[in-house]
Amino acid sequence: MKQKLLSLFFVLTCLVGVTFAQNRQVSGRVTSAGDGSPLSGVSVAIVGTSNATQTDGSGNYSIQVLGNDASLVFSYVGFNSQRIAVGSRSVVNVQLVSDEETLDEVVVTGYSTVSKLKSTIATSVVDAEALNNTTLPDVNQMLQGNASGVTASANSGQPGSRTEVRIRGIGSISASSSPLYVLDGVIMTNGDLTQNTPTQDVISSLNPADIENITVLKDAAATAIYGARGANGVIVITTKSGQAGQSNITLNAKFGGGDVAGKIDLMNSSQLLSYQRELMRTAGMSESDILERRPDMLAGNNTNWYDEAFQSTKNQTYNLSASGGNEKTQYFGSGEYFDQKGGLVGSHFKRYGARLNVDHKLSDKFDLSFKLNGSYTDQRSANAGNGYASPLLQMFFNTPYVPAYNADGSLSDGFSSGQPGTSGYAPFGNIPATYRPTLMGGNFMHTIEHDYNFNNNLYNSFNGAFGWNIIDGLRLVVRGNAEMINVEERVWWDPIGYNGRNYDGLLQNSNVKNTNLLTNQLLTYNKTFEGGHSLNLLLGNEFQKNDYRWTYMASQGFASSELQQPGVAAKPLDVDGDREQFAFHSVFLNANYDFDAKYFVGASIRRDGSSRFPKDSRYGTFYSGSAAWLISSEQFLENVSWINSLKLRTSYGRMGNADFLFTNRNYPFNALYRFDAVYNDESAAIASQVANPGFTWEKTKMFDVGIDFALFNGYLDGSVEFFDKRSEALILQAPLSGTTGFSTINSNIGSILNQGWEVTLGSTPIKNENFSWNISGNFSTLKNEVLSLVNDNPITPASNTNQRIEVGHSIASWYMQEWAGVNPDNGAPQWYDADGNLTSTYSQAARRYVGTALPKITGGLTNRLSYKDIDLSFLISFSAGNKALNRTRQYWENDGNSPNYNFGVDAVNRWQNPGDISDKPKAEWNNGSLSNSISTRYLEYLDYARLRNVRLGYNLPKTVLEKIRASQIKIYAQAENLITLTGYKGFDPDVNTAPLVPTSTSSVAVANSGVDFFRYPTAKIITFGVTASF
Amino acid sequence: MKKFSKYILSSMIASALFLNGCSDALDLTPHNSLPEEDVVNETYARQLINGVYEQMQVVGYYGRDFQVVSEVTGDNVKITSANSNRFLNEFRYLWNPTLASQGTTWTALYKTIYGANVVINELPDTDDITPYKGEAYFLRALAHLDAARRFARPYTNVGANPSGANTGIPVVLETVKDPANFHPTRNTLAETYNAIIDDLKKAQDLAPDMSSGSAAVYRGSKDAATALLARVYLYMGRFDDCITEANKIISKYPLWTVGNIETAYSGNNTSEEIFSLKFKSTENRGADNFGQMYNDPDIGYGDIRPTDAFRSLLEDDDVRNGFIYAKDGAYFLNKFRGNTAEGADGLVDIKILRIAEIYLSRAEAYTELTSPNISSALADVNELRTNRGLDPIASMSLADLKEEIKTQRRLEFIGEGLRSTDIFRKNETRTIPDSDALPSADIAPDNFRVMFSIPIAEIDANPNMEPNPGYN
Repeated sequence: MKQKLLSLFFVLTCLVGVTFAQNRQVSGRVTSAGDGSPLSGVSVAIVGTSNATQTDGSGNYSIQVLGNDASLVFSYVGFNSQRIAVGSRSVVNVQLVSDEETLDEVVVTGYSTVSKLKSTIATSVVDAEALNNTTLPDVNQMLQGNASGVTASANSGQPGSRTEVRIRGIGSISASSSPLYVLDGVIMTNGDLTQNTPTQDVISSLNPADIENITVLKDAAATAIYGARGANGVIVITTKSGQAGQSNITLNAKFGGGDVAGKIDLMNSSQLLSYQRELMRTAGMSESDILERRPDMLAGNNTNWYDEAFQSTKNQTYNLSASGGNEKTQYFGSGEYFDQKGGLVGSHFKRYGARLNVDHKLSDKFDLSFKLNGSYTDQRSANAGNGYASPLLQMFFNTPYVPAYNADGSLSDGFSSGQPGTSGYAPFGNIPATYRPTLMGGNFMHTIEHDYNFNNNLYNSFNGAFGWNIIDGLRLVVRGNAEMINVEERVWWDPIGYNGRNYDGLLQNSNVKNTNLLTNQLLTYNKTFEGGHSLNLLLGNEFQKNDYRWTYMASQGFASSELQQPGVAAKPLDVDGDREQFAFHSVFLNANYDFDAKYFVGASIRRDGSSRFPKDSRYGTFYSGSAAWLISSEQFLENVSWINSLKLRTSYGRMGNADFLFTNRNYPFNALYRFDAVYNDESAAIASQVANPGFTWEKTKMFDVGIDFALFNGYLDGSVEFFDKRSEALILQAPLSGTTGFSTINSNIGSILNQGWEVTLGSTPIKNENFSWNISGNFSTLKNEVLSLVNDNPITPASNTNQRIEVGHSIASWYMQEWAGVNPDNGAPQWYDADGNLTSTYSQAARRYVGTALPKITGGLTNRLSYKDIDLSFLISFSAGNKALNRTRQYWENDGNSPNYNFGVDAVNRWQNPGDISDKPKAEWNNGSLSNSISTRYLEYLDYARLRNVRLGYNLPKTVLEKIRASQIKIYAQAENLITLTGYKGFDPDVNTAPLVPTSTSSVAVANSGVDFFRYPTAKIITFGVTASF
Repeated sequence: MKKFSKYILSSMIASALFLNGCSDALDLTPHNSLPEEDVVNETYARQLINGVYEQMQVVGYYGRDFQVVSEVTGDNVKITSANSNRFLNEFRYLWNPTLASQGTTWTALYKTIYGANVVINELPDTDDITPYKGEAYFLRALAHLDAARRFARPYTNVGANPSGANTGIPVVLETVKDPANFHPTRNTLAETYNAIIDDLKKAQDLAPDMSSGSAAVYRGSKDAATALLARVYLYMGRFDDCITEANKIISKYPLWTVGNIETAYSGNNTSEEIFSLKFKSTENRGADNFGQMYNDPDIGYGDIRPTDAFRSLLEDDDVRNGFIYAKDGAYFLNKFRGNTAEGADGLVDIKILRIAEIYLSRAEAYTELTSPNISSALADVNELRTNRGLDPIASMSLADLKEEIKTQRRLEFIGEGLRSTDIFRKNETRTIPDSDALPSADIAPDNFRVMFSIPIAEIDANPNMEPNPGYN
């Protein structure tokens, strides 16, 4: 079997022949598009007649056709039928594409394309249809539940926010655990490039509708050719290409809206009034004092801050794409507009994008392709939850007594003298000063009308490749890619708003420019020798350089809210900026050999160097070996009819990680003095980093073994595999004694284990003329354990002091005081002390390991049903075994420790009289019991199952389509995050649990890391759409 | 095949050449930093000493936290239920080793010490550099003293035991060359204070000169070292030495007068100042500015307010009444309203050493001598009183005079972070009886919380660090 290996995902089309007489013979060969194997028993029929034949054992057929207007239909169970106009040809070869996710799918490894049947590597493939099933701007979001071993969760519900993707667990502490992203054969930039925006992800610049498929590379054999940066897995994204002979214009329009998923019930003013009075009574205040401090008139106003903070989300998407071409040139072009308003007021995301992919064959020897992509995004970010002016924080902190509007109907700003929300508000004048209800950060409704945080992202990438078929089987591809990203950020604090009042108006402008240049040269050799030997060799060389520059300026003193330019400001406040670069260089060799398409062996080796390491330890060598055995091709299984395909594969390899997350990530080994400090108008130099001349790559060793199978003629297929991933020489900012003048030293010490099972199962229980039902699911388990650390001393991350990293425990282990319920005799809160006894004194409570933030089981279930022209699909994703710290609830369930906030309605179900059994302790004004301090009381299970996606579609019947010459028109309705089953009391159980680097200064409000601190929740969205193809 | 191998060979050669060229392309250096070997030399001496001052301005040290925590643990100020959730555990003496502000303060203190060590130990002794070394000795002493005030008991505290093991803090006098293996133990309290005294004496020798109203107030000086030495001797109970040091500088710096005191704390290099840290508008941190904890909610947070006990100490004529103002039924401190020259709320120069403290320290020392000198003490107290709008006292008993000095010290230095050390070095109990303050237990001078807990990060990273007793 000859196998063609290309560096692009490319489908061969039919050849053009010569016409002869009217009544003539047309013949050809039908093969499978995935691996080129011949298909026998394919029905070949002439449209409009009853003439039909079948392909023979070699896939050949021959049939008589009349004239030049005949069309042939090729159909075969398990494959998409094709209808081809014969025209004047006499030879028509056809490649049928499988319509199920069986072993015949194609796997793109970034440098090459290979049939899954022949591959020895562990991958998951997410196809275009699954990718377009969400209305989120970010491609990463679509991975959740669709690929085993992959978890994806967003830092926040802000449209455009950063999504943290993890493949097979967390393998690093101070280095990134994010996978590498490869787009059309080149490494692309991902992550948050902004300087002054709460959260953003470059990948939201990519139009998901442009994507043909995403292949997730998971094991050592697949990722080792990325050597240095393959330790966390690789996400390979391939954009669409045109197909010769098939012109197509597709229009996709969708629009919809929704609300925040999840709800928390807060008190209204009469409920709060009686509750706060109870708190005071319990504290022993006299009735007259209580009435003076909380008079009846307070219940007269009931501002629902919760409703004011949330808005309905709205989204619309318009996408137009055209593709086509002939044998020489194929193209794919698209343009799109995407617009989404987020669930929190003052947040939205818009994107305008265009793409053109062209493949051109100059001759049999030379071909070239280029891909141009440009997009412009416009994001307005809601204030991050940790700022006082944030709507999320205020909806809990503001009491409903305080009006949001002035008597004259205008919006009050909440801080100017005498305004509602200030201590000088006249109607509250009779209440003693320290008891007057006030607003903490002004009135956010007013702030949002005047302040904003915008960022605009201009993303351009030019990807060009030149291919040369040197001799038969030997091909050279030279590729170059330039990716230029320009981010402009603008934060405006109006002089009349709460934030800007101290500055007389503040304007912050940042400009970020990131240039990423990459070139690689790949020499591939494919040859099949006599005797069933097949060999593929890949030799490559790659160089990448990235340049990140940013400037920032802040200016203050604005006379008018209308003029928002730095030149108008009275006074410059701050000027800042820097430049960072990094470069990687690698040479690699990949070899695959198979005998008789039954026994497969692969090996790869790669040598990488990076500017991030000192000269002496700059280069690292990475390798892998893999093998597979297609058991079902063996003699002894030939007669076992219920096994269609059975493959056993295994791999082992060593990969690396050089992607650090701490400050000075690009220059981590020198002893440095930074000069960005100033004292009394003079420049100052401060020691910023301790030297470590031996600093080098983080290494990961991964072992993988799996079985892929297809049984019962397509009724059951799937795979089961086991992986064991050990990361060593962990890059750790090893803690130092503070007395050294430094907090950490960048070192390579420590190791982590990630181990688990991944199971994928699929079945098509019913498939006939009218009705088909396909169900597939995946789940994976993860065991994570820290194996060694610096002197095996535990580390308390400064970024999340409620977790602890210690040998023998999972990396994101919770370490905190343990709640022991409420004492039924006196309502006092209880914790466990060091001896396991109950104590009501918080400082006596001992900290213990109480769970982990990393899920133990994750997975998804997809159902696809179709009946005639109607189809229904839904995706459920689930996750279990982990806990999150619900710090938002620490505030709305605080038992009176902070009596001036609003409370959850269920606060009334607390302990009140001796003998009461309740999970909420006695509440009193200014409690002092510290009952709402951090403890397992607020550590909740994050297990959930979520109906992430439901889609009902109707395809217009062929009769209608033919009249308007359309090839497909589909109308659909889709709902996302419709139902969530969970016991979690926060808004959204989809909290991002990936731990932060221990020394990170990021706020958990933005980066989560297992903590729900006023996290912007995700939305429930219902969308209607139309797709039309011509 | 020949063609084939030719092609392979040429591509390999091309790659090899490419490789060599690329190797240099991997030598990249940062754009905002220089390597250590290029910086620690004569050329950058001024930048290196500037870096030490800059290090002291972080929010965790003199930027805000250090003096605020020293103040809320005293009894001049309180936090009520109208608060923004800041410093509550410090005010209520309910902290534990993971409390964030202690961690950042510890780090800031030792970064200051490291910077000073580099200047003292690594730079040559030229005419230009020697004064910088003097400044560095002063700053090193100040940082060690602040660390001792926070993490060790006051020298004269009833539980102090100055020669006992681990009663002080780690004294670091050499530049740390191998940080990964540097795990110092704690020195005794006596060793700590003696090291501070040695440094201050060297500073008195080498540091630049200073005079009242000079812009040199923003850097260490001979007089600053003398003023700090007076404070150290007072804390140690070495009253004669305290008086000797005070005598050296007391006539050089006029007190603020009744006429100029209202805006004095917001002003620049005023007459009383001996050492201050300059905060310019580039250090404007908005809500995190020092004064914002005190400024009323229309301007800042307004969390920290004067106690009733404090307000009752003020006599009617006292000009310092102007530091307190009433608003919407509550009282606030407007001492740190904001430096008018820099125009930002709550942004003020932090005046660490000023002559008013020397007057009161000397007065206290006179009263504590074995044969107390009441007349000299009274003269000093009256000098301050008259400059604060109060009538001079004609005569007073020793006990009353000691009380008066304590009172004047409270009235003068509210907000400036001296009170808690004063309470516990004189072995008094800290109590906040105000009904609207957040409840807190009385803290007797032998309470284990007189010393803050050593931060958890330090205990974890340094096995030789003995934690303070009482914390689990």
